Amino acid sequence: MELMFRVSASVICVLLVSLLIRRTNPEMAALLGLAVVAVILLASLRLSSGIQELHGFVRDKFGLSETVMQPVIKCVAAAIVTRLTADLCKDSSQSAAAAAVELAGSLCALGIIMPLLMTMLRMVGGLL
Amino acid sequence: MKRLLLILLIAPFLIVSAYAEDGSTPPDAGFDVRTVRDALPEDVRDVGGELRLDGDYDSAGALERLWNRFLVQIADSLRESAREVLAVLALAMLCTLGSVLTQGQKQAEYIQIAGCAAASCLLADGTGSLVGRATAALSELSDYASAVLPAVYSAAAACGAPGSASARYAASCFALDTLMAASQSLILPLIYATIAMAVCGSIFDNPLLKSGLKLTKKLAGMLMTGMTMVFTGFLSVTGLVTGSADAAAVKATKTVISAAIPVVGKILSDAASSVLAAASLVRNAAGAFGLVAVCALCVAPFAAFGVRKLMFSLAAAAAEMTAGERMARLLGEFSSVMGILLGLVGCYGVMLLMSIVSAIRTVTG
Repeated sequence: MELMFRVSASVICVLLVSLLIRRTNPEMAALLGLAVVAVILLASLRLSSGIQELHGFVRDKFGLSETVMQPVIKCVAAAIVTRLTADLCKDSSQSAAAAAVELAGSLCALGIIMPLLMTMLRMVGGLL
Repeated sequence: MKRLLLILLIAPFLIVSAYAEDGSTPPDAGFDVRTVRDALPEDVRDVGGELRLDGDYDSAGALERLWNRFLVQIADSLRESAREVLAVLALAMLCTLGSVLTQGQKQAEYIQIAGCAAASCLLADGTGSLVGRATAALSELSDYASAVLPAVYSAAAACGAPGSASARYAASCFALDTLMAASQSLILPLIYATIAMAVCGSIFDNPLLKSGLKLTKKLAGMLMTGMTMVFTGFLSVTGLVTGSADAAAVKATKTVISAAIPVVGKILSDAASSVLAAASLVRNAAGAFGLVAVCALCVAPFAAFGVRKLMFSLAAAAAEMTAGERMARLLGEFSSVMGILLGLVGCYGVMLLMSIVSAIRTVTG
């Protein structure tokens, strides 16, 4: 909760500063946006310990192997990075770059799940 | 003359004692009825108990042991399947968390696909071994059928129904062999195809796959139901026709013996009736033991498939609420596969039970 207040406060400050300098210095406004995203992400990393704990619990208790869980987790990470990057591009009026990032994100997700899909298809082929 | 006198003198020393058979000795109708018990695996033999041919079979005790075995098997299956289902549900939970974090994005779908692929890998491994278990159960039942059916039908034939018994025995063997062949060449491939289509259908939202899935499930169900219905019908008709012929033949034989042999004809006829009654005692005892044994053989696969079917259905319901349609559909289809496996073993078990019951109920004159 405390973290959320800090994040909200810093975002509001950055937003106000960004509004002030956007007309005169748009590149600085974009950099400011990027910086606040990085800071928020770094601050949020502390909260990921709960997710890591859940990951460990599921792996140890239910015997879920890393080969099965890693693609799901990597997909989530890729999706978060894709979304943030695409939105930053859109903020800087770079729609084409945003589209390219989204496409790259999709390809990346496909690449991540491909080994799992191949395992599954091999298994299906073995059944038939 | 001397020789004759010598023989007459020696003859009294050659006389040996002869007694009637002891009443405690089980009647033996010329076939090895003990195979009904000996052909069973050790643990199932204990469930059946002692095979007593004097009509004093402890059926209540056998049923109690059968029930206890069923409860133990259910507990084992619950332990085995709970881990598997909880693993899939944990995976579904991870996917849900991921989808929540990436809501409204294309990547959410990739997370679902990754989750389904991972769940398929987990489930298909277990299901493959369960299909092997179903095949093993069928082989076990088939082996037992080849031991129990000759024994009970021989006993039924010895009861005075040779025509009916042989016709029903032939029908039973033919039906069980056909089902075994059909299960290996048709139903098991259909089950594998169902698993494959279920896995692919959960990832690729293709209407053709959905239709194919419906078709394979329906085909497997129709094959099993059709064969059981044809078998039941054939057994009933055969029993009606040949049963009357046997009853008439036994009655005619008794009448002929009574009428044709002047003094001892009636005694001979009554003795023949006693022999038939003793044979029917053997038939009923072997049949009752066989029924319990078949149930005991079916208990383990029934518990394994039934519990998994239930668990997968519950997991599908839970996944529908949390993880989404793909995962729920996958779990639902695996539940259907368990249902087909249950049906396959059940079908064979019911046919075998009906064959034994048919032998027990063979009408004699």
